[in-house]
Amino acid sequence: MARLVRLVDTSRRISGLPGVLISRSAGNWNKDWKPGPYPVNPEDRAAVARKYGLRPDEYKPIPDDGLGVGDYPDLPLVTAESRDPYYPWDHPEHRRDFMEPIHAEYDMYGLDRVNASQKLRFSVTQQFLAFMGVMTFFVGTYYLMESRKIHWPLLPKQYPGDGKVHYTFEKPE
Amino acid sequence: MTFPISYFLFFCTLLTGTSLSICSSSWFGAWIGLELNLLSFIPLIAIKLCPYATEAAIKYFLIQAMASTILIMSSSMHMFSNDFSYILITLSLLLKLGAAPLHFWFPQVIEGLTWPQAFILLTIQKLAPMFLISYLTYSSNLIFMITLAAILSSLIGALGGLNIMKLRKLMAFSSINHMSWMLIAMTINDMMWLTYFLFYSFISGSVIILLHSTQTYSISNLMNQNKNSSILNLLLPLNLLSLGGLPPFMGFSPKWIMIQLLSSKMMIFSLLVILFSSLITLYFYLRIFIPMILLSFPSFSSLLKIKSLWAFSPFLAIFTFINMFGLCLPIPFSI
Amino acid sequence: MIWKISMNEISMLGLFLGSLITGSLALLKIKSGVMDVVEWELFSLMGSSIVFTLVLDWISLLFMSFVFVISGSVLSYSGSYMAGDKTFNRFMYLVLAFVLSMSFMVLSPNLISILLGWDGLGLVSYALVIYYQNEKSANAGMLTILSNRVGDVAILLGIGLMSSLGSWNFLFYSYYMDESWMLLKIFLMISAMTKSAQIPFSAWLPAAMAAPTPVSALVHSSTLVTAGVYLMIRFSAALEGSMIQSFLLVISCLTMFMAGLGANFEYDLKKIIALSTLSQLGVMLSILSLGFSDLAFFHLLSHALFKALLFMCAGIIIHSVGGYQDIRFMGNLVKFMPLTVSYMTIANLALCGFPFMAGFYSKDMILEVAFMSWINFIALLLYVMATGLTVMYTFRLIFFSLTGEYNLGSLSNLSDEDFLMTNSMSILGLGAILGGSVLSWMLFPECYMICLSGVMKMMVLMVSILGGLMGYILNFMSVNYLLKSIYNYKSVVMMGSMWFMPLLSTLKLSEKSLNMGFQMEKVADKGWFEFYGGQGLYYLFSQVFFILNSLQLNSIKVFMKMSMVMIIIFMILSM
Repeated sequence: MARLVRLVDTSRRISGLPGVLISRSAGNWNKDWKPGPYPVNPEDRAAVARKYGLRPDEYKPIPDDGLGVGDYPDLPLVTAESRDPYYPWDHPEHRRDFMEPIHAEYDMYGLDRVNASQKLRFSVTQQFLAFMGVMTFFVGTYYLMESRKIHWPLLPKQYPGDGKVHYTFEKPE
Repeated sequence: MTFPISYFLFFCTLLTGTSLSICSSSWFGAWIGLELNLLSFIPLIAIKLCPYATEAAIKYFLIQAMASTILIMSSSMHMFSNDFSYILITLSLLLKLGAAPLHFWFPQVIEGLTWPQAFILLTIQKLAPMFLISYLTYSSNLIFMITLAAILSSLIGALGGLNIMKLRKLMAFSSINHMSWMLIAMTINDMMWLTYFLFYSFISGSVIILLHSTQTYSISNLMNQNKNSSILNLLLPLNLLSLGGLPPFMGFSPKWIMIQLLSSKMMIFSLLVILFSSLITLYFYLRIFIPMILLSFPSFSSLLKIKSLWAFSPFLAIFTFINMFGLCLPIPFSI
Repeated sequence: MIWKISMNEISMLGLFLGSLITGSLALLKIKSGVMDVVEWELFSLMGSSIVFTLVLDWISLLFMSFVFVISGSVLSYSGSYMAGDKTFNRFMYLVLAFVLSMSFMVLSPNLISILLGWDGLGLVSYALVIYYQNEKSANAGMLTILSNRVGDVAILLGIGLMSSLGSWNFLFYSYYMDESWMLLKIFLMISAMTKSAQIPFSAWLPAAMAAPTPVSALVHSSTLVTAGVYLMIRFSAALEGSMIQSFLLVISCLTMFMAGLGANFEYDLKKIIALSTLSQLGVMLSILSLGFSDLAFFHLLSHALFKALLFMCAGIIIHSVGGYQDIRFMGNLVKFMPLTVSYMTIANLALCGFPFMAGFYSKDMILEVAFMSWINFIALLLYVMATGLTVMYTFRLIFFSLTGEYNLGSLSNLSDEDFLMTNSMSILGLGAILGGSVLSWMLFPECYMICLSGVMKMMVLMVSILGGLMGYILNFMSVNYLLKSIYNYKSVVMMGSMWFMPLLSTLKLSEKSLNMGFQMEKVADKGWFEFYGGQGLYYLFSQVFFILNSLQLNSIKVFMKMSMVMIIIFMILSM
């Protein structure tokens, strides 16, 4: 994806097509929300870390893969559902503190969304394979057996027809 | 509404001119009719001696005079160069019509008119040139030219009206866009464009009555409208959507017929262009009334002198009813 | 006023009356063998008539009569079960809306008008599942409605396919559908599978037990879930001899087996009954796909009677033990609530086919006819095992909850003195005892000829007795160190959790789609679609507009010159 984005981006720069000048948003948009450029040297990093309220040793930018995240810090992914519900959060409905830097894909990991830190006893792959295995076993053998159905031995139906003789009506011995 | 008695006179001569040019069997007769039409429209424009109206009258006169000149000149060239003269005649008629590459005067003139005059310009004044063009659709060369003009007018009508804030100008561009449908229809079928024209005049009439009754000339006027008139808030969007050709309304039906006609004649490319540009016009109709519905500045509402909508209520009622249910028009006949 | 207070009683009376009328009409139809089709032409537009069609034959009328009688009982029952509920009236209206959409579903032979009832059933059942507004109910409701939505979409696609026929009366067209209508058959099968909770879509039925118990009795056991079976019965002519039939057979047999297996591991009273419903749905669909749609309908009706009764008993028990649903908290209930327990035992015995109860006539006949027909070995095996498992979980349930030690808290108030509830069960109790025989005399005036070898004839009985014994033994099972099932934890979890279906169809499915949606939003919706879509186009158009507008801003000389230039260009072009 990132490669594709970069490719399109460079091709756009070369061909000189116009970029989007007008930004539309349903709500208010603030230019301060836009992340800055990717920091290269340590001084820049320290400055950016200060900007996001992190210690310089905590700060680690997301690798610049062309998706436009810029200098946003690569924070550990802790989903809201795995956080302590009894801790006095500043925003208890989001389980989040005020001014706490949030993960870049925060909208994805709210209380009503994905819980990425959930640990299942059996992984989903295992469960899926088990389900599919059982189903395949039964359905497969079913279709293997399909040509050899069970039935109780029957004589062919004795309907009258041209030249068919079912009973000879001989005198019993 | 008060107006001088001369209005009637000029209106009658205007109609006479139109019918004269439609019915005449020679280009000379057509020219006379057009001239009569032009000369009786000028006093109708300049009935109020305000500078805007005068300016519009002069612009209109100059352009139409030029077109008439070209028309009479080319019709006399008919003797020695048949093709050439017909091309020139078509061009002069397109100029009179205000179709796309020759549309420059149209928004300018309509800027200086009041709504009833604009309505005349949008509908009656188009009738004669349209008819005359429809007589010319016999050679492939001319048909090509008309089709080209149609495609260009659809694009220019759509794109030119995109960011315009003045409602009269906007109606002019929308009329240019609608003209493209009529021109395309003209190349296929003689009746079709007339049907479209009738539908169009009806719907634009219904919009214009509303705008005239509230004396609205720009989008910002609409936003400052008296909020108590919720009936306007309801009617104007419906009529505008009908003008844009949104399916449940009547404006869709001529487009529907045209879409079927064009696709059955395999004129897919022109259909595509026209349809897409109609979509863009729908966008700017939406832009007219969405601020009106969503935003309101009640503090400005006293700035406007509003005539009562109910003065026009019979028209409004009929127009709106037909706009809403026009698509169901064939149903009573089919049962 | 009276309506507000005793809405349940009035509705019950009305519904019983309706049941009487439709039931007697059904008897007339059975006798005469006539099918009435009412076509009400709403209007005719451009030569195509818009018609609302109702089919009144013995199948639909009998089904209607059963729906009415069960819903009447359930409404009267909920008068006490839901008493004191803040939104009692909403509940009542929802149940009535359910009956209405069920009637639409049952009475329409038309794919479009059946969608009216079909969608209504989905919607009302959703509203009923989320009746108790908590997170669990909301999740269960979402699973329910989305699973059912798959079927609705399948019907919509089927409508699209059938539009080439000129009419949507699948009831009549189904006789003429050969293999070239495979896609339509697949769509209808999928929709029936979702509504009847067959295997890939099974997870919603136990989850829907979050609804109030009367709802479970009416909606999720006896009527709504049989809508899929009913659709297949109506469509059975088209299934005859197609590949769909054999596929449906294996799926329904597997569902039957899976549900029977799962019920043995379950401790939630309502979920056990839900799983047994699932198992019986499998029985109905399997015999249907063997080609005996009348037997499927027979079982549908008798099952509706005793399953509704079973759920109503469960509701009384849940009420009196103080809201518990876990059967480990119950025990020895027979001492305290003899009437309810006897109803429950009747229903349970009818469920596992105890001789001369309602279930015996339908289920025994189904099994024997299945054994007698040309059947795949796997299907036969699953039939036999599922029959055993049914008896097993039934006996386990009976002995676990109704006998044994008293496990409730010391402060409890057990009784079945709530006569509103017990009285409304009486009709269904009668039905659970007599329904099977009466129905079999009514529907099959000529007997099925059963010709089986001794082993096969005794097979069902043997398996049932074996299952009953094992169920009795399971009743003694309690969690302790010696429990062998701990050693086979993985397989036990798999069997006890419906082969992982609930988790597979909720958690990971939603997570994957959420993830995909998030990526799409980030890259496409807020990215390239916007760039090359709305914003980009708007930008482009605006640029063109500015060019065009700049021509308009100038003086009269410019535009007259422009006109001349254009005329000349045109002339050159057309030369």
